[in-house]
Amino acid sequence: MTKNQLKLKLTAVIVMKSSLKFLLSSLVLLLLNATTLLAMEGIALKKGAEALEGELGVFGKRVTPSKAPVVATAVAYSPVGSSSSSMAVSAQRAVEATVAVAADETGEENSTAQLLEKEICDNIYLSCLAKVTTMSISARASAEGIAQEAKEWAAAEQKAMRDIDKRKKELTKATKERTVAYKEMESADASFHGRDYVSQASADFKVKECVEQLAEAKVATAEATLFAIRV
Amino acid sequence: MEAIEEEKKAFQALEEARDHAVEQNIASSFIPMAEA
Repeated sequence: MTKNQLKLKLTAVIVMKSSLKFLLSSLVLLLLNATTLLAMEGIALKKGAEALEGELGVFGKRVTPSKAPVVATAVAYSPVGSSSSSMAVSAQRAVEATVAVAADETGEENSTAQLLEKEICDNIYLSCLAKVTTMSISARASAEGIAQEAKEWAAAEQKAMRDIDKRKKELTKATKERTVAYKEMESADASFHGRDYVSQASADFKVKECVEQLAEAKVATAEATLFAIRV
Repeated sequence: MEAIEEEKKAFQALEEARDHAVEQNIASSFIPMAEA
């Protein structure tokens, strides 16, 4: 057997396989559509009977509200058309409709409840996802706030350090003035300068001494402020 | 807080010293006038 013959055989096999697949899928879709149509007819008949019951009161019983969602679900999920372009969607809807109708017929509402539960869960999931997204944004905002706060603390630290330097300079100046005042007080002689001069020099020294003490206290306060910022 | 308290005390002491100095100054300026 030549290579060309082998190739031809292989191609024929592939074509046959593809054709079989297509035929099988078409058959499945036809079956599904047929089931859906039957279901729709059943629903329509049932609805008609219920409407008659309601209007005439033939059987003397009311329509139970528990069955309404099942019918509504079946109508909502029933296929609108069966064009080849929307075959997959139609098949899915047909399956869902079949499930809903089966629940209606057997009296089991578990499938409907499951579908509703799934829908509720999906809604909750989407809602939570949106919330989580918002939370991450707010977390980012708070991170920016933390960075801003850190900047402010660093600025306050720098200011406290500058304040200490300034107070220390004031203390140095006050110490010098106090030293000068002390020398003047010491050099004042009551017999030479007069008693008032000596008293004034003493009072001036006392003021300068207090100024120095105040400057020292201010340095201590500035240092305590810096310590409080750093801790 | 302690440092601020110390500062307050130092400030009060300075105020008192200044008042005393002013009184001293006034007294020294009034005595010559009284003597005259």
